Amino acid sequence: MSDMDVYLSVFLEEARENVQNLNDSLLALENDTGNVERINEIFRIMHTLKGMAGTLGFDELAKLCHTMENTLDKVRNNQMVITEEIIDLLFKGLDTLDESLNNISEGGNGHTNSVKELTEKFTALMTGNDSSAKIEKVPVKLPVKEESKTVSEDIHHVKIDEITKSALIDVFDKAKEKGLNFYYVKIKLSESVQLKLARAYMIFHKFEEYGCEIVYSEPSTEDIENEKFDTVLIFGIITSSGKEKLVNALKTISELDSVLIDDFTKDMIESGDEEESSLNDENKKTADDGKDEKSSSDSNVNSMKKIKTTQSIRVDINKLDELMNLMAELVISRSRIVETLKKYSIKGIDDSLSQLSRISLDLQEVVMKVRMVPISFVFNRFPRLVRDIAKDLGKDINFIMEGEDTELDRTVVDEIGDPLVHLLRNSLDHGIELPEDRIAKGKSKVGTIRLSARHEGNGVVIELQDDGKGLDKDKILSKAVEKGIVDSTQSRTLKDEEIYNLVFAPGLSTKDKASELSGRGVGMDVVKSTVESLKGIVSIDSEKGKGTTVSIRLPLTLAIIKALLVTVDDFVYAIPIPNIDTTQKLSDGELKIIQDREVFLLRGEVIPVVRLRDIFGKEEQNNDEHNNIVIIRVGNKKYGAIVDKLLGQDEIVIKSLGTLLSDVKEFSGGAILGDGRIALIIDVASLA
Amino acid sequence: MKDVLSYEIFNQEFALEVDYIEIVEDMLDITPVPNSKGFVEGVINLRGRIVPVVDISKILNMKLPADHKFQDILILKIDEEEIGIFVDEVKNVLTIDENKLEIFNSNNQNDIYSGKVKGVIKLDNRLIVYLDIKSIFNFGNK
Repeated sequence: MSDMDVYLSVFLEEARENVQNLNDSLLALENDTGNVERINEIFRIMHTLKGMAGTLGFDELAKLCHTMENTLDKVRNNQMVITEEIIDLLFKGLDTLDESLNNISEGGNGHTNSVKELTEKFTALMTGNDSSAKIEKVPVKLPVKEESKTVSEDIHHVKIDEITKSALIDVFDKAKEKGLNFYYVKIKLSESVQLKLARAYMIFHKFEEYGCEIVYSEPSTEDIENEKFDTVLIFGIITSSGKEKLVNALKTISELDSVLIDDFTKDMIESGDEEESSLNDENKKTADDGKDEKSSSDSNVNSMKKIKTTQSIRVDINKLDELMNLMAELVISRSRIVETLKKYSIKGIDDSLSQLSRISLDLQEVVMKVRMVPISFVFNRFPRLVRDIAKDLGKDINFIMEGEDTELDRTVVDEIGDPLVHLLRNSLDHGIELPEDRIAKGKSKVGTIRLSARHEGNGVVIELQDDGKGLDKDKILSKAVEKGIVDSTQSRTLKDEEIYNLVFAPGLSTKDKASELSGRGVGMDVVKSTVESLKGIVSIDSEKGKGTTVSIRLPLTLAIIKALLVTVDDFVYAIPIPNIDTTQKLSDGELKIIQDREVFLLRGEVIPVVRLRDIFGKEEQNNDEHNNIVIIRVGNKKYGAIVDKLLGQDEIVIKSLGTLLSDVKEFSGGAILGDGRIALIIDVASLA
Repeated sequence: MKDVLSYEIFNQEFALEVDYIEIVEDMLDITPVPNSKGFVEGVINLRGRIVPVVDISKILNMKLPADHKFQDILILKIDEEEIGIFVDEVKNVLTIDENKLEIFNSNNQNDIYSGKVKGVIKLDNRLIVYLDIKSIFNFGNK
């Protein structure tokens, strides 16, 4: 990664975060247009964005931010009143910012057509509303205040510990010997600086350019790299260049408040020591700790805030997968050791082994948790989506979100977004009625949509609830009969719940004409198949006139599942527990052939049967006495799978079988068992 | 110039680029995968990873005796994916000039090596078939 890439990714990350904040604030502002605090907040965000864009030279983007900021400034100063038009335009500005950021992340300069267009619109809006007001051109770059000569203040404090001190004196002597200059450099970044890290890099870069060797820095280089510093940076450098030259070079970097360069003297080194040791006494800490203590107590409120927010790093998901693999190997090795040691009864080994087991279990849990992200990753964009759609449809919506901090596996969170969008659109389009209809029905004018997520058992339940008109049972049923999804005799025996769940069947859309929002083919069946591919279950419940609730139950993670291990011809296969209804001995019921199909009669129920041995193309062996039947449930269907032995259930780590085996639809993956054997995981849907 | 590893399957020497080779393993327990392509022998547990193993003699239509026992598994890494292939014996690494290969000029589509081989390496009295491993597995995917 080149230096520029580092800045860019920092910029993009921060900018996206700001755009998200802006989104939230705008939504809040819309509901409360008179809220000055909100306007100020938006103004601040725009200002931050402008600064960041300007710093990295995305001038068009900065210009757009600037005009948006100016518009808000007028509102703030009561020169303009917030109208719907302004809010809409601000939202459009938000979209454009997002678009521009995407353009930048793809290597562009953030200069899309809409950026320019929108900038003009904002300008027109402002001049149109208040033609007497001139648009002030606030320069994007802040001027650097000059301060090049030594000012004798107490700023020459250097905090040095004992070891560094002697090293510095050593360096100092050597530098003098060689006729090099040893300078003290103090740089103060402006308070409003964006991307401090980028600035620091540029400073380092300048030093390098002028052949300066940095022998001392405060805070330490490491802290600087981790952005753990306030606005003041102090360096000790050795160089052959003169002071003037360096000051001028450093001044070319924008957003620096002051640059001060002076000779580094032996006295400064000595005095630094004294100050440090006195501080050490106070804090009763070692020299190193004292130094840290000092620099953090030095930092202002701004960096205090930093500490409060959780520290995080970005990790490539592949590395986590690798970690997971290693984890699994560890668990397997452990069970092997246990197996081996059982043969020799060694005293004292039991304790160590159980401790090892406990540690590896804890470790497994931690590794799993690392992969979890809060569901707010997908929920975040919904308020805006709901707002826009509701506006288009002319509906009033009170959108409530709950449990956004519920955590789920990263992969699940990535996949669940689209189905949720679809369900939301359905609720908005077909569920919630128009305000006048609602009033006519005696409901509150504002429709409520509640999206919630919560932990339940070993999974997460996401619920989408609306208080709209509910599903039309008769219409669904007649449509299902018409499309041949159920036959008319069958249709009479269906329970309400079963009828509602027919909407998940492919090819059933009760909406007579397709609207722009929903009914375009991507239907509820896609929602269902996506959820099922995530090993989840989706169900729908509804009450006519009162509303509809869609529940999605998802496993916490895709990587580890509970499975029943069975054998067929001495090879082990795994069947996911959530899909298992019961297990039976064949002797509990009766096998029969009905219409050329083998079925299992169990307490009056007729269950179709598959023989795994046949499906796996193996020769029939006569060991019927071992035959067990696993009753599997897939959606509304049930079938029995005949296997040899049931080995019991276990938690297994799912692994892909690779592209070479992707054509084998009977297996969704493989898992490595405690004894090192591989169990293939049966894709239960493929056998139905 | 290219480094290739030569190995033997049923008295025929083959070679492929060392870049693709990860490790040579002794024969491991194979778990068969029912209903997979004929040349996929199954999967192995390679230190916690599940890796498919392929008998390329089946792709190359070599007629091996039914009781033939392979000795080693050559683990390859092609496009970030691990695949094992059965071999009898791993020989040595050779540095070859890809421009000096004897090219198979066979128009016969039924030729067992057609589209699966880059050429033949002639070395002393050895004739080594230089496999085009990528296209072999692309062929496998079709």
